[in-house]
Amino acid sequence: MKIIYKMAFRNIFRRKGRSSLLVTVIAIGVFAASFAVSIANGWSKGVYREFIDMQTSYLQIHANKFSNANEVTEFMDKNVVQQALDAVGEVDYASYRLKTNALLSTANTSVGLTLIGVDREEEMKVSSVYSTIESGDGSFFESDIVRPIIISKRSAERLNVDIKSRIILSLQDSSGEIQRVMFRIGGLFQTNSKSFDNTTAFVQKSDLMPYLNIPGEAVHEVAIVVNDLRECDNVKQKLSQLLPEYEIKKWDEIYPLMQLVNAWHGIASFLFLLLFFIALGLSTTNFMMMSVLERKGEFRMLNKVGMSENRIGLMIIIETLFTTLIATSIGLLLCVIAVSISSKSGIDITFLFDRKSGYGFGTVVYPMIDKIDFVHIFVLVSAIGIFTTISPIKKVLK
Amino acid sequence: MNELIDNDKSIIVRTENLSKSFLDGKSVIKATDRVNLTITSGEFTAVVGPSGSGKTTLLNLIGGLTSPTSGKVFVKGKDINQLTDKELVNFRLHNIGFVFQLLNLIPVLTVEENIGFVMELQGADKEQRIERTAELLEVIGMRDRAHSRPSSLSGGQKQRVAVARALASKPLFILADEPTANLDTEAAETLLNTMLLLNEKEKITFLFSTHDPRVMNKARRLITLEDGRITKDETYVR
Repeated sequence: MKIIYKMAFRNIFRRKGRSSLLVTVIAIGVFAASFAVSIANGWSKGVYREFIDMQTSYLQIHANKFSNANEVTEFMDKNVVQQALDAVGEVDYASYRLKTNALLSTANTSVGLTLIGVDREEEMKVSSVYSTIESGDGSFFESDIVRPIIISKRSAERLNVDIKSRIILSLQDSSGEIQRVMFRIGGLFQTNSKSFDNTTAFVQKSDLMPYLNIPGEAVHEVAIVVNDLRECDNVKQKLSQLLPEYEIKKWDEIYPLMQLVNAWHGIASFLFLLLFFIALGLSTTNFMMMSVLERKGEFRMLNKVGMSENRIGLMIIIETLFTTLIATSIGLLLCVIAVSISSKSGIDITFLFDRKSGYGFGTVVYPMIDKIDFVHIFVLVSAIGIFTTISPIKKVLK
Repeated sequence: MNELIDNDKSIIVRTENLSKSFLDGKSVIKATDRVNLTITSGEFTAVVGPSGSGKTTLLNLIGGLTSPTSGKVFVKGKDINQLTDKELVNFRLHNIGFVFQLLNLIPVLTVEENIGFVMELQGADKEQRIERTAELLEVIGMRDRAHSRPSSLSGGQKQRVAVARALASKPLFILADEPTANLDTEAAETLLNTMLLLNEKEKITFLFSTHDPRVMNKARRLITLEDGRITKDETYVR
């Protein structure tokens, strides 16, 4: 039935003005919707990238009973874990951390938080916290300060301390004894997460180890970066087999809220597109109604000479699909151009969210569009394109 | 009796007490009234009569474009009113060619595509279509306009293309409703000559309505309708 496709395609160009207007309306609509989705994608990715880069890494390994209580006595043997990680090709980097609860005190006040003991080189490969230390706010264990501690700017404000200020750190060792050690502020970091900043501080593993009363090869947490985020499940499965006595969690299992963000983002994007295209479809229906009704006589003639109603309906559907798909392609092309431009510099949304508010995501969004979004848009536009022809077809064939 | 008549293979169309009435307000208008008619193969027949005599309605009834109030239409012995809408469209596609007064051609198709249109709907293969289209373009004298769009053709040329399209698939018969109504004398003459040529060359049966004396003079059989009834049925040797 090549002739039906030929007629449908040529009918688009029959009224160039009207077809151009329709194509323009749909193209702008598709561009607006897809760019909005790409911003939402960028924002969503920004949120979980922030969590992965600053807080969770891709995967973490803990001793089974370690849980959230940060029990000093629940540690793992670094050599055992290292051996397992060496056997998994997808693992790029790992940071072997000590982790305990601690109380930071000054003469005036004190705050409780989670103290993380790290090896500087290892940590910089799995976490980007070091990159949030601004010039003039110290460094990530690079200074010659003895026993440096890196705390957040927020904690520094609460404790009323600055670089090189002394601070007393109280913690409980594995035998239950309280240890008090003096540290000096070596650096001030500031991530986009208020809760993380308020509850986290970093010291060097070598400075912390003597006060925990645990074996030299003990570690509480191993943060892992793998070569591809999509490999997390696979790596988790392999590590679970190699280290059955330890608990291995992916980034979104460590913060289940991230699963919700991810799922909700997918649903919200799809619903947004659906509603947007339904609205667009209603305006398209008017165009198609006009286009079809003015050719009523022609359709009757076609029916008289032997073209069935089904074929006439099919021709109208194909005509609409051609139009909407041309317009959709233009709209998506515009979106790809806009995304490729804006994804380099990012879009500053400070006017919506103040960075200091610390909701957990950055104030610069880097738009991105996935293949699946293209599929969603094409499927939705096609479905709605067909839907919009139902009424005109019914009228013309009545 | 019916069976005896329809066993005559030369009979293409037969109507039996064919009536069609329309409601005009509270009054009933009989567009055709108990018309009994037989058309045999190869005829070149004109249905004539004054405006409103029921010519177009009769042609529409025979072509299955409208259903009768009472009576029957047999095409090659088949009662077409027993067919479903879908079957009727298919029946028309394979058995009847149509030429209308206006709106005959598909504006987005070229002349040759218009001629091959019905054949393509029938599923004829490309080679067969091209061959037949070329042959008909030659007969109607429009080979040089094969790739033109209908909008660039004159009224007479459009009607010739419509005739070529109607018989491209070699239907049982062609129904033409006032085919010369909008044509000047020369164009009407050319169209009629083309129709006659095709009638003789291809042995295609033509049944057309007209009130144009030029057309009547060419017809070999004249059926006169008045108030929906046949008042005269004359055959001529021309």
